[in-house]
Amino acid sequence: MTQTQVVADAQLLSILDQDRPTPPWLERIDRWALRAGDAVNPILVKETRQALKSRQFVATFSLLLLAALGWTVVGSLLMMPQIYFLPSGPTMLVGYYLVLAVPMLLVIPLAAYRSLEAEIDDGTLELLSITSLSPRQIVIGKLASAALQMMLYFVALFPCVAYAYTLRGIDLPTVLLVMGLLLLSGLTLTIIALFFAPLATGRTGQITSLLALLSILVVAEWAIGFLALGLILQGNPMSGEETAYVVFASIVFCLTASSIFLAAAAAQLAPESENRTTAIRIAVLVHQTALIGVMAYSLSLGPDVAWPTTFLIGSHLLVMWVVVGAMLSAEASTITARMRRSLPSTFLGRLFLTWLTPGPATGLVFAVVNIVVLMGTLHWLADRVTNIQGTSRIRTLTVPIQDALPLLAAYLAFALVGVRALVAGLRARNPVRVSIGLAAMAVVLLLMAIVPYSIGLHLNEYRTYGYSLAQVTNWAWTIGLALNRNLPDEAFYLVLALGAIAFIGHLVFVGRTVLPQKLATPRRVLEERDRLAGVIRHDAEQPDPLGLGTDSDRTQQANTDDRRASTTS
Amino acid sequence: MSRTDDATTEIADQPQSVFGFRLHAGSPALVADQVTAVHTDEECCIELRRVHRFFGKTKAVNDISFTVARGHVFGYIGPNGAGKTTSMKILATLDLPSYGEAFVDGFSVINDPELVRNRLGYMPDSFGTYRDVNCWEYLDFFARAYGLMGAERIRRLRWVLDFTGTRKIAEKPIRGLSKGMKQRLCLGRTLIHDPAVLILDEPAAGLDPRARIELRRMIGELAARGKTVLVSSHILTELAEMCDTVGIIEQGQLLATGSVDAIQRERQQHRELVFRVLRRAAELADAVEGHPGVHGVSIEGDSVSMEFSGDAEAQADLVRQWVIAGYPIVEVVSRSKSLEDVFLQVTEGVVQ
Repeated sequence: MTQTQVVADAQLLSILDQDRPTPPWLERIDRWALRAGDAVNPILVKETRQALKSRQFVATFSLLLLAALGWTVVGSLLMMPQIYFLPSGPTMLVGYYLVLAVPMLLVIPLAAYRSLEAEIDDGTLELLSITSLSPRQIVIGKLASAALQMMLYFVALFPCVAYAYTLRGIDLPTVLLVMGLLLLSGLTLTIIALFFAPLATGRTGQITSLLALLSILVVAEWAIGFLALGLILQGNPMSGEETAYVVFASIVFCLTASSIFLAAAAAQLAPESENRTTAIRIAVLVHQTALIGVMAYSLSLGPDVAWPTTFLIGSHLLVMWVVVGAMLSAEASTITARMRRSLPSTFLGRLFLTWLTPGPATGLVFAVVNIVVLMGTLHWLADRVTNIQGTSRIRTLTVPIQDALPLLAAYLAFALVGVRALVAGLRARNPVRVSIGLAAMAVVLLLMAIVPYSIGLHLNEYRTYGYSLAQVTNWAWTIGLALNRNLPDEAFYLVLALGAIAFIGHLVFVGRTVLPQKLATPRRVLEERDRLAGVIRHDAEQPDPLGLGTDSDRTQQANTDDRRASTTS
Repeated sequence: MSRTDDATTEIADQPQSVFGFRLHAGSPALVADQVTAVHTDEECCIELRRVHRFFGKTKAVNDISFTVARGHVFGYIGPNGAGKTTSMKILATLDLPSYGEAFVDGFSVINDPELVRNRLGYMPDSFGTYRDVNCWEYLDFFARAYGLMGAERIRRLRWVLDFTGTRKIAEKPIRGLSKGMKQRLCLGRTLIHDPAVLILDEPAAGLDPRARIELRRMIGELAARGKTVLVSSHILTELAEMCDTVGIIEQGQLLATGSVDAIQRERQQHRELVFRVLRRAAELADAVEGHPGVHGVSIEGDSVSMEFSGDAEAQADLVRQWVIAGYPIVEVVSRSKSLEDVFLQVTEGVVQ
């Protein structure tokens, strides 16, 4: 979306109403601008028009410029006369960072949140839902609008950052690193804000989600500020290779995590009859695969990098699967005819892609398979870290965790089967959202630990007692013993057997649900889709921005005029 | 008419299964049987087939079926909370039925919503406008959202601005518009992609008489252009004038459907007849009393009023009989019941 486009569209009516001849070069520009505008997401066009006229943008932009100007004057005066002979760049850049961070990490994500929430509150989302725009396009459009505003802020502050750089004391890579960190964080936080916007529809829920988002933004502002200010004031402590790795890992993490939030935000806007889960499952799969790649690459940087990387990413993925697995297992089992039309039909497709299709049965299998793959990979990575260049300190930490990984997989599989049963029971009486799966997961995990422990306590007359096989579902105690390397072998294998039995039992019982039959798409629907695609392509190929008719129209009109003229004469 | 020959069943609040065993609750939710959804009528542009929509125990829409022929205007009448908006939202692909099927131009609103949306214009009872945009930008945005590009978009925008009479306010911000103008703008938005079917939810609500007349004119013109219109309103006299057929809904159930005249005839057991007689009103009243089909005779000055149940032939015979009998009858007025009377007779005024 260009400024030319905005002007061209806004003035188009008056241009159309005037009969004065338009210079050919201007017409060409108009044509080009309109063609470019047609290719842009409509939400971006609308949001930009709105944002550039909104008080919020005008106020924020003016304040940003004033603050930057103020800091330039005040900061420079405060550092006089040392500014002439001492490096003063870091101090000035800290001020500019603070000026830029507030709109980037706070104002823009909140504006994006409010924008999507307003669409829901004002009823315009309903109107958008019945257009050709997909929920994903709506979310992407909002994100693009936020990105455009970020670009404007960056451009506005660019001279100030350049000024700080000329004052010496800070190198270009660090400046780029700080600005990149700000941009990446701003975009990621905006996507998280867009995910939060449709989460709740009631007033109480909206206030709660807004508070949760505010907390996230404030914590992120603080954490990123801590990191950025450290980089500016103390320099980058990492080597070039380590810096490249951290940048690469951060980009991979943010991009793939953001794609999950984007898919989830779009799913919340999609109607019930749509397939809302496949995109999320693919995004989760890509996220896990990419992070496994990052962990594997970290091995080449030595155990001091590989160990914390594996631990942090492994923990993150584990928490992710607890959340995602619970929600996938809590999906509605209804699979509409519309969804069934897009099911895989080939043997290989049914074998591998069935797990991406909607439903709690496929969701559970998808989650468990991924958890097992994750645990296996983490086990292998831990093995590599300790065996290749291991130190005794790392080995002491790693080996107990390696022992606990299979237990974690088994417990999660068992708990997910419990979640599925619990939510299906609830859904039989009331329609429930998938987020209820999180509550169900908490209940199941709590019951798995508390029930055997309470029974044991009761049987032992409320005195301290030792671990026995009766406590095998008590995951907290069992994993605690495994980490201390005190878990009996039979308990270890019993836990694995429990997880396997629950999962296989689930597979046996839900065979038909897991493999729904594909429905053929009616011929008329296919024909209509082809026709629509053809119409759009045709229009796109021959745009006529001024409504003057296409070239062939004009040729035809010219011929008619010629005939009229000859008849008159 | 081609057929949408896929089996479809959409159950929003249907009973779920636990490990493959179906659970049935005490609620009136329905089992997901396979229903063959086939749309066979070429002239039928809108069809609701046994549509149900439950919100918990509330039956917002309870087994509604009707069709609207291509190019017709269908009036949807019912008290507040009757289920009009819910069924309109189902047709507009904004909600799913708990059970049943709905078609627009032969396409299922459940299975092919994108094809339905392409040929459907929906105007909700709220305006749904944006801040900080002018009328032109608003319409242009929706034109883009419907995938209109280049010259086609400009042509449609110009047509819509002319048709709705909003060209002069094209560059005015929406927030400063009157209610009538906003309503025109929203109608413009509904028409921007040239839909074959229009669903208008209370379009005349809150408008002054002039704006209502204008709106009625526009709807009439759209119907003349071959658009199929489903319109709901509380202003029954207007609906009676503009609609070819009406449906009366209450408590989620369709109580009557058909042309206004047909419903009036069907529901009307008595027609009010008034004879104005010179000098002999009391005598005529005595004479008509006891005549087959005549009830509730009353006198008011020179006029004798009565309830008459009979067809047009019987009414003509009655008049002829008393004229031949020599009564100086100077005027005969036959009053059929208005749509409002029929509506009041059909509905009970119960709100869910």
